[in-house]
Amino acid sequence: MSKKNPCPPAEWILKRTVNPEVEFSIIGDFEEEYTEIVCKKGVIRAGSWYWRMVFISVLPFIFNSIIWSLAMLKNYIKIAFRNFRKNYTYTTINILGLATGIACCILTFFFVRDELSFNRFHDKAENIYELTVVLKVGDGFYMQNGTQLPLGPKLPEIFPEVVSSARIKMQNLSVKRMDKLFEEKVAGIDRTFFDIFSFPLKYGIKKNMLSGPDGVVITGKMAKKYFGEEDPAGKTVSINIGNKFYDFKVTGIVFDPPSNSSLQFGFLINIEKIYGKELSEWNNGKSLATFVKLKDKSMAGELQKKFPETINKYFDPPGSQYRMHSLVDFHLTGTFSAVFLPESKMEYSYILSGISLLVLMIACFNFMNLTIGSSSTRSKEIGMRKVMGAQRKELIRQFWFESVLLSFLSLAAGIILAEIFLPVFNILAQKTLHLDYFSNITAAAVLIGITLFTGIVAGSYPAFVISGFASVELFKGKVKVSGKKVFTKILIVSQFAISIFLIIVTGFMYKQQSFVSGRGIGLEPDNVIVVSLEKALINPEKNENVLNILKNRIAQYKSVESVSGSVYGLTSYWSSMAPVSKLHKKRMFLERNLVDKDYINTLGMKLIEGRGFSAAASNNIADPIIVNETLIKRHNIESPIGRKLSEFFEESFDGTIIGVVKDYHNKSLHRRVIAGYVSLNKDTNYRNLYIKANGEDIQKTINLVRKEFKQILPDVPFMYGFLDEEIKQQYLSDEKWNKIVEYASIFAIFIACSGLLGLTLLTVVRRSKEISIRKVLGATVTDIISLVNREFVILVALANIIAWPAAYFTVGSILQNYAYRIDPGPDVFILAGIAAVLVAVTTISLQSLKAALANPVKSLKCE
Amino acid sequence: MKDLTMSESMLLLAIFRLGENAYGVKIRQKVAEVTDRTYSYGTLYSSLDQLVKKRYVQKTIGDPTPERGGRSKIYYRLSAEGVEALQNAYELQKAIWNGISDIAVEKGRVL
Repeated sequence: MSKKNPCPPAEWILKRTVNPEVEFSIIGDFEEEYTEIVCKKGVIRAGSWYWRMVFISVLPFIFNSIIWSLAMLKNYIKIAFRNFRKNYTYTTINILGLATGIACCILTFFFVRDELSFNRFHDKAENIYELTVVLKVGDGFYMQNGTQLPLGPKLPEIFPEVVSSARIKMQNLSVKRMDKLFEEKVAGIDRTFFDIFSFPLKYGIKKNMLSGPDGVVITGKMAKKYFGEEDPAGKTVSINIGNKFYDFKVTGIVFDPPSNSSLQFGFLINIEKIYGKELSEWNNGKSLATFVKLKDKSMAGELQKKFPETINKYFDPPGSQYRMHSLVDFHLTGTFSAVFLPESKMEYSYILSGISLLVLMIACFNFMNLTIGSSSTRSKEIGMRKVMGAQRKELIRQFWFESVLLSFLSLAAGIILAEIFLPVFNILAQKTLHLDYFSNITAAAVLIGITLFTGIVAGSYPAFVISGFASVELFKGKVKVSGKKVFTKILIVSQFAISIFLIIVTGFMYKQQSFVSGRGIGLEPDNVIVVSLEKALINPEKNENVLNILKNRIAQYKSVESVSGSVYGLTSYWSSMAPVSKLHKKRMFLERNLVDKDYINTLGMKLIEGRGFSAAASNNIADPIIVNETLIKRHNIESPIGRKLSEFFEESFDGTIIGVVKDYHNKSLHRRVIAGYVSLNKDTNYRNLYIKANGEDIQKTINLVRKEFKQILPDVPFMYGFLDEEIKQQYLSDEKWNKIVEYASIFAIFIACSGLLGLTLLTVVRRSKEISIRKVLGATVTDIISLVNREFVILVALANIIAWPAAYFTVGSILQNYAYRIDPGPDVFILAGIAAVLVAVTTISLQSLKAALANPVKSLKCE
Repeated sequence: MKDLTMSESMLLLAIFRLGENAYGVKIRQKVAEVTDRTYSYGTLYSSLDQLVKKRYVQKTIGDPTPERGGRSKIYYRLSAEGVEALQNAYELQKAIWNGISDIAVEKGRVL
């Protein structure tokens, strides 16, 4: 009778497939019969028998295993729910924590998916490119611009790689139909536009769209706005181009451009209507956006290399470079387009994903902690199972299953949470996301994947630990979780470190924000109404006196304190020049705005030297200008009053300084103030009218202004805004991100605290006997509370030490983005640390209070 | 109580015949001996498990034996319900075959 393993590989197969409960018996049977056959028929026959038997038996064994596992499943589910109910505090904390993590992941997923999907809905979107020109403006100064007007149609002729090309000129034009007059986004396009971009038609035939010069294609939204329930087909709208209204016939209706399209418009007209003859002129200084569709995106690099020889040689002065930018990359990585505004950055997606993962990790840590800790109450159950023959494998399976089950319960809770927070999130992210989980498989699969992953990862450590308890000790009630104490400690420290980190970052962002807004913009923008006069300008001769009349009429009203006009808007880019500075011997930026004499007063700018443009005194000076502080400082101008600009620059400028104003931030504080000045406008081609109202009943003032406007400029749409809001716009994206980090830190703290809560409960339970004995020996409530606190507060303090350097580094790099920034002082760090400790102590104390007040006899009685 | 299937009765009777010594190898051999049908271990254990589930049979774990490399055997014994089921099956068979056992069944012809 041989005792050695008959066929190790076959036996290995057996071991894997057979129900572990009877594994030993089966293997024994195999061995027994094998040895019998060896005796009777020899080793070779025996070996082949063994293999044959294993082969036939494998399938039934596997099948049986599955059935048995399923049988246990019913038990596992029952026990799992029983356990959840028994320890409902821990279960709730776990579910809430995981649900929060999952909710964050859900929101992030939809956000990132939307970001990545921008502009991809076009047919063969990856082959669409925009051409831009890079011009050299001076030494080291570059400007990106659109392309020349006639270039577009030539491209498919010259380059075989280009399948088609289309030009786009986007403008905000007045659109009129009957009594409706508004400013709308109108795009002048080539007919080939529809070959490149996929904007599906609601009504109309593709061939006929814009076939005639006077056709217009409108979006569904515009159809409703201007035609209501009427059928717009064939009807007319008037569009104001160059101060003249032209009639256009509606030849088609497209579906509104989706929210994930960078290209947004209301009306599409033939580009020839916008430019006329100029469209075929080269080098007339005008530019527009040109798009191409390539045969294949791989040709883009090669094509770009060809440009200097072809385009530049024939059509453009040398020194300008043509570049191609992929449309689908634009939303996340693009920086310039002649027709789009860059809206988003890759970083946003990364940051959000990072935060979600962080929150989920913290929740998983908590889960591990709590599960392992609370397992002490199940020690008897585990012991019984082992006695009844459960293998370690089965126990691991059971606890893993419980974790995954809990994870799916958290998924349900997480979905609810995500729905609740969706509106807030949409506002912050400036999107209109819908949580449609079933629109495509990816969403549902990712969700389930995340849940499974969370359940498995979070449950792995507890499953292994719990199943490792030896039976006898379990019955004795001696569950030694202490060996894992180090791990627990690390978890607590890291959770609080993450929370403290987020709090510090939030704190500094707040400080920076209030510094920025409190810094004083150098203006008084409240109650200043801004009226746009752009449309009025088109025919300057006609409107010259009219604008002055308007200004005077408005100024008459009591509620109007002062009225002023300027050529450039306050927050938009002024006439920007880069002359050579005599002092620094290199080109430097210089901005200029043309205004009227009331500008300084109306906007509340502060004169620190000299005087303003009052009508009387500026008579003796031909070209008075008022400069800002930065100009004085940057160019080291001493006693600036009376000096001429041309003293400081190589180029000849008109301008005698009569006054200096305090710097005002017309763009956000991310940028330094640029040296600039305002000069008295000789014409009246103001694009903006600023009206300072006295604050009472602003609405009434607006109505008065509107009345005057309509009387004097009936063909111009009345559009107004508020200056303080315009300025706030600059800071919107900052505010947005501040809010997000703020929410993230609230989450993190919440989860860290709930984790701490659970652990405190566990500690109290674990040490209940000790606490009772101490009470009996005379400990006060305070003693008990500080006993429990001591265990954890040290950890929180430790967390601070870890969080501070990380936070310091991060805050430093964030502040780099601001030209005007605060100094990261120690106050926020200390405050955050103290806050964290306080929160921890409160949580712990509240929990241990109960134990401290309990009757010691109770816990000492049950042995 | 449901009727026993053919294979169930085969196994149960084999267990009955083996008495105290009914474990995997022996059951398999006994069935092959009596009915010429060979069970693979896979189907054998599956069927045995089914019988346990139906409570006709009880499993007990025996002592480890040296021949099997120190592994124990699992012994199967008929339970009271198992015995009852067998009795019912026997009655049923008797009723079905009552009076027919004397008649010779020739090929193609039943007299």
